[in-house]
Amino acid sequence: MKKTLKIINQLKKKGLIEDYTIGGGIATIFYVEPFLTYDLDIFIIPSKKERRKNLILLSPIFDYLEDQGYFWSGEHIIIEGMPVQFIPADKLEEEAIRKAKEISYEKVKTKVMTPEYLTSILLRAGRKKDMEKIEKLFQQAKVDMKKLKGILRRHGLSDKIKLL
Amino acid sequence: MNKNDEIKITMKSNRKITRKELFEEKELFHKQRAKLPFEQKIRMLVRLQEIADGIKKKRRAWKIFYKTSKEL
Repeated sequence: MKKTLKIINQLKKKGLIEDYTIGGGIATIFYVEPFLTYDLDIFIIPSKKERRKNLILLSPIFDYLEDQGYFWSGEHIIIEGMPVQFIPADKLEEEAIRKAKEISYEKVKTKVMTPEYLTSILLRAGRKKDMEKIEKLFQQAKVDMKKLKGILRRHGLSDKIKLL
Repeated sequence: MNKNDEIKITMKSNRKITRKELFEEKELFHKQRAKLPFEQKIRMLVRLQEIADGIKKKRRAWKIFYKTSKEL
């Protein structure tokens, strides 16, 4: 994973993305005991030049990665043995990227979503597998309810709190 | 409290615990695993993927580590 993160950090250095954070299952595993998952979800803020009205161009990122020898498998691009999915952030996810926790993985700097943003995004999706991750987060990690409620309120998701 | 919670169970080395204590220990075990370093958790995840591959007879495990069996 170290090599994969190094490549993703290069995207930021080269200005192909403005910022990113690890989300989804792998971010959940940062806070809870490991469970089976296969893909690495990377939420990205595309660089300004790749953002148009109602259109986000991810092709420069993919062109760069393909030039480096990485290939597609379904909806993932395999980077150093790991299937990575790049997800352009919406408003809630963009805030999650900006407030993400900075960590070091084998001395490579990266970011993971905080448990409160992870929970908000999982609650919004609300599928069975998302609710299972939320349950793990509440049992094994510290989720700040005040922060969580604030995020949900700001993004018009207050009614989702009933699902907890 | 459930009556069954007070039923005693004999564990390794004749240690006796109640069902309630058994589940408390189980919860503690999960919480302790949640506190492991991220790098170690990723190695454990790859081992889980390899086990799942063995059952499903399908190759999906990340090809990023070679020696992981000690981590589980």
